[in-house]
Parts: sequence; C-alpha cells; structure tokens
Amino acid sequence: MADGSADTSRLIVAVDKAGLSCTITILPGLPAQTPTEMEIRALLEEQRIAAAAIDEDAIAGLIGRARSDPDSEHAERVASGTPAEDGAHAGFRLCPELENRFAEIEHRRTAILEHGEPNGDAPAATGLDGEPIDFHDLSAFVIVRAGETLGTVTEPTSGADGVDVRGETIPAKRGRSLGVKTDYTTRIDRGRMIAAVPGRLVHAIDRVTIETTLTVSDDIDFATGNIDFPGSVLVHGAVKDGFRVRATGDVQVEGLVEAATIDSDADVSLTRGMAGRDVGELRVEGDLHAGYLDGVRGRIERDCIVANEIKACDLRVGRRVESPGCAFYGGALHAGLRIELGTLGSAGGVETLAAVGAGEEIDDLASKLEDLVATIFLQRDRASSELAALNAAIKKLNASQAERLTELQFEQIRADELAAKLGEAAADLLGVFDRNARPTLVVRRKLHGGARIRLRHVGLVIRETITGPVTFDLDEGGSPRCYLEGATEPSPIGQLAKLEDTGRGDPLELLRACAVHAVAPAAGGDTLCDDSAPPAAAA
Amino acid sequence: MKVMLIDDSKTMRNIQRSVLKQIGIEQVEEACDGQDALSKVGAFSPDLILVDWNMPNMDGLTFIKTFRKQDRTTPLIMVTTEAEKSRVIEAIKAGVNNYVVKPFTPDLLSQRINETMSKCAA
Repeated sequence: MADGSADTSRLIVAVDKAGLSCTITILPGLPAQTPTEMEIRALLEEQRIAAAAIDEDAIAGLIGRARSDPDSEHAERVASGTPAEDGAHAGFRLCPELENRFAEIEHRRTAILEHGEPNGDAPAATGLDGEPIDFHDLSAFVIVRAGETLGTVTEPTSGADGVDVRGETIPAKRGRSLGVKTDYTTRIDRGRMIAAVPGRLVHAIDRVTIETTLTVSDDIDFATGNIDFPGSVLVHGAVKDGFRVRATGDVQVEGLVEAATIDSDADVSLTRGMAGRDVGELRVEGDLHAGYLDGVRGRIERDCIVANEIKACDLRVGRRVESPGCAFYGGALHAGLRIELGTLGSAGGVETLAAVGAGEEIDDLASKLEDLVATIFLQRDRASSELAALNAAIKKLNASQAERLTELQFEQIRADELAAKLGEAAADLLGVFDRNARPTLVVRRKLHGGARIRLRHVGLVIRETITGPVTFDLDEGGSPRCYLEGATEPSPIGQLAKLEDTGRGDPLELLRACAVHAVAPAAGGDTLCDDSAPPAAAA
Repeated sequence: MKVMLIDDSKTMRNIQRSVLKQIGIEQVEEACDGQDALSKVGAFSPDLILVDWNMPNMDGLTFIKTFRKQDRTTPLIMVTTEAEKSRVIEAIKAGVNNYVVKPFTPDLLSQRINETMSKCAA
C-alpha cells in the first residue's frame, strides 16, 4: 500500500443483533494511513447503514483519536437505531374510597385476630384513623349501589415502532387488553367501571364482580359486623347476640339466631330457629319459616310457618299462622286471617293469647272513620245553623254577609262530599272483609285450659283442656262458634270457654255504621240561597 | 280554557276555583285587586275573567273600564254583592258580559260561566 493512501483493512464494522447500534473499530497502523471520513462512510454504505442513523461527530472523533494515537485500537458507535416502544397494557384501579374500605376491612380482620374473640365481647381495637372501632357497625363487606363508580379503566395503547441502523422498521408490541375479568354486574363507561347491580363488591387480582346474594360462610358476629345488604343474604352460620341482618331480598340463616334483629323486605327462613331472649326482633315483609321461635317479638306481613315451637313471643302476622305441628305457649300471637297450631297454651297455665282477625287494627280504622264522619257532620251542622240564620235575612244581607253565605254553602257541599267519600271507603273496607275468610283458629292436638283466644272483638278463655282437633270461628252475626273433632254442629261455646270482655264492639259493625251515616242524605231545612236569575240576566 | 279570578277574598277565589275545577277548568290565574289584575292579565291572556266589584287599590269597575280600552272581546263576569239595578247597568255599560250576585251557588256560577262562553262563541 502506498504512503498517504488509507488502509481500509484496518477498519472493522460491527452491527449488534438488534440492529440498533453500528460500531467501527480502527486497528493500529501508520498515522498517514488512517482511514478518512469518506472511506468510513463508503464502508457504512456498503454495509447498508442508513444515512439518517449515522453520527457524523462520532466518526470525526474516531478519526481524530486514531490519528493522534495510531498505535492503539479505537472503537466508536457511529450509527444508532431507535428502539420500538411497546404499548401499555390495559389496567383497572379501584377508586380511593373503595380501596380504603378494603384496607379497613383487612385492618379489622387483623384486629379481630389480634385483639379479640369474634364470639366474645367486642374487641378493643382502633381503626386506621386511630378511633375505637365499633365492630357492630363496621361491615366486613364492601357493599356498592347500582351506578356507583368502582374505579378507572385504562385502555391498552399500541406503542411506537422503532427503526434499526439500516432503516428497517422494528414493530412495537400492542398492550394487552384488560387482564381483569368482568361480567354483567359491571359496565365500563368512558374509562370508569360502574356497578350495574347493587351488591357485594369482589375485587380479586384477576376479576371484579358484584355478588347479588351475600353468602356468609360463618357466623354474623364481630368478624362480619351488622349486615345491611341490597339483595338476598344467606348465612351458613349463626347470628350472634346484638347483631342485625337487614336485606332488601330474602334472608336465610342456617344456624341459630340469638338475641339479634332480622329485617327483610322479602321472605325469611330461619332453619334452626331464633332464641331472642325477649329482645330478638323480626320484621318480615313476606313469609317467615322457622324451626322455632323463643322470646321473639316482631311483625310478619304475610304467613308464618313454624315447625316446632313458639314460646314467649309477641308476634303480629298479617295473614296466616300455618303451623299445625307447632306448640305455642307464653306471649301473644296475632294473625289477620287464620291461626293453625298443634297445641295452644300449657299445662302450667302460662299466659297465652292467640288472636285472629286484626281486631285492633280494624277497630282503630273504624273509630278513625267514625270520628272523621262525626267531625264533618258537626261542622256541617254548625254551618247549617249559620246558613239558616243568613237565609232568613236574605233580603237584608250586607256585602260581607252575602259572601259568608256563599262560603257556608260551599262548606256544606264539601262536607257532604267528604262524608260520602268516607262512606265509600268504609264500604270498600267492608267488602275486603267480606271477601276474606272469617277469622279462624284451629288447634290440632291440645288446647290447654286457661289459654286465651280472641276472634276479632270476641275474647274467650278456655275452661278445661280440650283435645283437638278443635276449630273456633265467628258466625255471620259475629258470635263465636266452636267445632270439636268430626262435629258438624257447633258445640255450646259456654261449656268450653268463658267470654272475656275485650272492651270492644264488633269493628265491622262500626264500619257498617260509618258507611250508612256517611251516605245519608243531607239534613233538610238548610236550603241554599235563592239562585234565581240575577238582575243582569233579567236585563 | 284560561280564567282569571279577581277578588280580594282568598276564600272567594278558592270557591270560584273549585267551581271552575268542577267544570274542567284547571288553568286559573288569581289577582287580589284591579291593579294586580292589570299587571298579570297581559302575560296570562285569559279566555274569561271573573271580577269582584269592591276591592282595595283598584275596584272592579275601574279595572273593567281600563281593561276594555285595550281588550274589547275577552268575556267578563262581575261577581259581586252589588245587587242594585243601577249598579248592574253601570257594570254592563262599562263592558261586563254577565253578572252574578253574591251569595251564589256553585250551580249558578257554573251556569253563568257556560252561558257567557256560549254567547261569546256565537
């Protein structure tokens, strides 16, 4: 090789595997034979390195270093590519409030484990804020409403492609779709995950869902707190003293319900039963099924079916008590239409009352109607007297008297209309009673002496124990009847029971009276003013 | 149909309103005197006006005279205790279409309203 000409054999070109970096190495040699920029560029072109990727400054620097120190080897990255930027994966993040609730629940669970026995006294622990925790009120479940925002969802992005040193595209990988599984219980709206149904929020690593039935695998106690759920609740364990289960759907408790409160807008099923110790409460909008009830008070709007025993309870049932195998003793059991029991009362004569026919409710309603009708007629009578006086002086009325006369006439008309409407209401109510069965009490096995029965307004105290089946009801006139087993004719009631003064008349009679009074024609004599043609009309 | 009631007595307006309701008229505007009525009548543009005679601020007769200068067609019924023939004639001259003397019955008032509306429609 001649002096002054470059020795290109001293150049080594290397491109990395990813194609993102091109490095040139100049091997040692004579200073005069150091490769020039042109030679290096030609070499890069030969290697198909894209012009846009070449770093001119890096080449100049490399040549400079080789010239000043020809005895050493010099290497430099002379071209760079752009790496691809992969897309971001889709993500879900709970909203902070719900995150806090989950954190509180976890904190509470730890507190329970560290500080107390779930079945014993309330554990003395503090919350995340340092305040003492009331474990009754703190639910162990995150309950959400339909429409509530659960969190934010980010969509996957496609990323940005890269370019290697030869100008070839390096494709970017698109981000993965949401890794969290969802279902019909949630929906996504403009980047937000929304609860589509009310219920318990379940947030696991791989799924978000809302359970519309709350299933509690163990007891309702300090570990779970009170339950207030917008759906049905199934408790595999017990409901401990002082706790409350409230649900808009059915409630089913497989274990024992202690002195607790069960409140449902639908049906309630207490598989074992309830030992309320005189403070346990039931509020059931639908039917109640129970193994037994002891020391419970409450209201069941529809039917009550108890398998074994009702003891020391005060219960009001809207329709029927259908419990032919059940013994009832101690306390009071009221039902709107019918009560059927196995035994009623006890050999020891514990105070027991079975009342059928919603007597007090009808009484109250009838007396309210009667009071209203009386008030209306009183006002009407007062208006009539004043009206009569004004009518007597019709020719000499001054302006204010004339206006008063007009007012009174209207008051009278309005009073009659109101009374007629009340009468219609009373008649409708009577119709409802006519369409429903007469109040009936059936005792299948034994009706103990001393037990008290009330059929609407009629009170009876059983004289001696009667072996069942025995049926009590009211005849059309409202008098009590009793049918012993197999009898087609009623037995003389006086021999079986003594009448008890309930202090009430037959409420249906009151209603009938209201209906009759209310539709009675207005009393005569209070003639309205003369409505003959006024002077203008004559003119 | 829209009706304006002008009377200083709230009770009397209530009575008239209930009569109107019975004959199926629910769109009602109330005014407590002639001045109040003049301020409301333009916006409400009633199909019928019931007006009392004796009221504070502006009496019914003054209202009728003022109103008739701008509106000669909307029917007006005077509902008043003024029963003397001379007063009735004065009101008719001012522009009322019918006249009801207090005390009146619901039937009488509704009859007068129907009568007036039929005549005006003819």
